[in-house]
Amino acid sequence: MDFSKIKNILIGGVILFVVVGFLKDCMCSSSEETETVEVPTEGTITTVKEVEPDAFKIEDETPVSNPDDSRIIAQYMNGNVDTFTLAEARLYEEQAASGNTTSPAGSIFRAASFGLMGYMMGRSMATPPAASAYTNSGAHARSTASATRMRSTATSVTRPRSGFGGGRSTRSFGG
Amino acid sequence: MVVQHVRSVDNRLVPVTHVDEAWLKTAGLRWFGIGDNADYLADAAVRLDQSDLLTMRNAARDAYDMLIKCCEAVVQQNLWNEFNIPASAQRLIKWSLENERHLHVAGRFDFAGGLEGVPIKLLEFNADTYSLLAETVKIQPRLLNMHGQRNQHQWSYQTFDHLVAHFRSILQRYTDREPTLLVTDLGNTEDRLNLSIIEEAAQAAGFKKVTYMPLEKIVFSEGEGVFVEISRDDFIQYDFMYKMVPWDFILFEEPELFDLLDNLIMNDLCVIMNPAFTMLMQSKGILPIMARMFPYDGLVLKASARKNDLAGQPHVCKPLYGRTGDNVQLFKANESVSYYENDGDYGHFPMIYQEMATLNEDSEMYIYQPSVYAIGGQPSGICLRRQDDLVIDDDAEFVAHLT
Repeated sequence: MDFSKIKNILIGGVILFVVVGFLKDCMCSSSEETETVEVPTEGTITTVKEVEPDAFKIEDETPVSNPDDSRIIAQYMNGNVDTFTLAEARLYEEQAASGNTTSPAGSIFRAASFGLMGYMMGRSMATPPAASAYTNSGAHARSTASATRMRSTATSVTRPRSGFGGGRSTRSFGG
Repeated sequence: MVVQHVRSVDNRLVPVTHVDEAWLKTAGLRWFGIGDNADYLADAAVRLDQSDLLTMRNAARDAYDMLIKCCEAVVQQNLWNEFNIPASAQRLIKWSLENERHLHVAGRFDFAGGLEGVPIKLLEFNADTYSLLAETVKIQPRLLNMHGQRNQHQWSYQTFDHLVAHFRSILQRYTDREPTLLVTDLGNTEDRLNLSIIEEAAQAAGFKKVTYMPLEKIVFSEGEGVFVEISRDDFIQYDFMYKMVPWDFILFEEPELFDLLDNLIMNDLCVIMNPAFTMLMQSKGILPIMARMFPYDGLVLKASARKNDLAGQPHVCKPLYGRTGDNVQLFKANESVSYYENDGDYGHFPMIYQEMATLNEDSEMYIYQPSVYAIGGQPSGICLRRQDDLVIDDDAEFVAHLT
C-alpha cells in the first residue's frame, strides 16, 4: 500500500486519515474470496434538508466529475448549515454495518444514502434512488436521470470480500 | 468444576429482585435476560465478608505472580511442546513476555472454594479472552443499587475504574502513537457486549477514536499497520487494537494472521491487546507447569499432561485450549471411563488432567465458583457463577456479591 497523500481532519473529535493510494498491491486481509462490484466514476453534491426535527430529505443532487469532491450539505431547520465529506459518510456506513451507530450526523448520512450518495457509500448501483427520500418529485426525477448516467459510466472492481475469521463459528470466545 | 458437596453457602445467600428488562434494554444489555438467558441472572446474591475478599484478592495476586514465573520457565526451558506451539510462533510470545507485560489489560481467574473454610484453588485463568465483564461492571452494580448497597468503592467493585486507569497508563506510555483504538471480535453477541465495556473504558481513558469492527473487515497490512477500509482507496489506520479473539485461535485457525500480527508487533506498527504471552497463561498447558513449580502452594491443584499421574484420585480432563466447560470429563479415582462428559468444539486438542477441586454449594445442590478479574495484573473485581450440575458451563447463572 503506497500512501502518497495523507490528510488529517479533526471534526467533532473524530480523526480521519484520508489516504490516497491503491489497494490492489496490499497483501493484507488474506481471504481468497473476492467480489466484483460496480463503483461510480463521478460524484455528487447532495443537499439534504431537515424537514422535521432530526429527519432529513434530499433536496438536490448536483453531479461532479470527481467522486472525491462529493459532499453532503445539511440544511437545518434553525438555518444552520453543515458540510460533510464522502469519507465521513463512508465511515458512518462502515460503523452502522457493525452496529456502531453513535454518530450524531447519522440521520443526515442515512437520508443521503437513499440517493446518489448511496452508490459511493456502498449501496448497489442497481438500486434506483428512492422517491420517498426526496423533498419533491422534481428533485427525484433529476436524480433518477443522473443515476442512469452514473451506471453507464461506472467501473467494475474486484476486491477481497472477507478477511480473517470470516465464515467461522460465532460462539463466544470468552472463557 | 465439580466437587465434593461441602459446607453450604445457604447462610450467605441474599434473595435479589430480578433486574428488569426495561433497564437491561436501556443499558444495551437486554441479551442477558431474554431467550436462552432468561434465567441467567440468579435470584440470589452471595454475601462476602472482608476475610473472603482478602482471600480472593490474595489468591488472584499470588496466582498471577506464579503464572508469570511459569511463562518465564516455558521460555527458559523450551517447554513449547507442552502447548503445541510451533517454532514459528515462539519468537513473538517470548518477545511479548519480555516487553509487553504492561499491555495485559484484563483477564479473569476462576477459582474453586474460598468460602466456609473450603480452601481456595485456582482452576484456570482466562488471561486472553474472557466473559462476564459486562455483567460484573454493569449488572452487578445495578443489583447492588436495587438492594440498597451504596458502598461500592472497594476493590471488588472497581473493575471499570481500574480498566480506565490502565488504559490511561497505556496512553501515557505511548505518547508517540495516535490515540486510536480498534476493537474486534468474530461477531458473537456476548463477546460484543464484553467489548463494549472495553470501548467505554478506553474512551473514558482518553482514546480519541474507538471503533468496533468485526475481524473479517479489518485490513492487516504487512509492514504498514492495521486499517479499516472505507472504500477502495480510502483507509483509516489504527495505532491500537483490542481483540476478543484468542491468540490460540489465531495461531491454529488463522496462521497467516498470526504471522501478520507478528510482523506488525515486532515492527512496532500496532499495539495489540491482550499481548501474545497471555496465550500461555490461558492455556491449560500452564497448569502442569504450575503444579511442578509450586507443588506445595495451597492455591495449586495437581495437574499433568499424563492421565496416569492423576489416576489414583478423582480428576478432571480438560482440553489444552478450551472454553466454557467444553469437552470436560470427570473421572473417579482409578476409573478409566468418565462419569460425566460435556460436548464441545475443542476435543481435538491434547488433554490436561487436573486434580478435582472442592467447590462450595448450597442446599439445592448448586455449585458456586468465584471469579476475580485481574486488570493490569492486579486483582480487580469479583463475580460468581453457580449451576445445578457437576460442571460450570454455558448454563451457569451469574451471581452478584454483596459486602
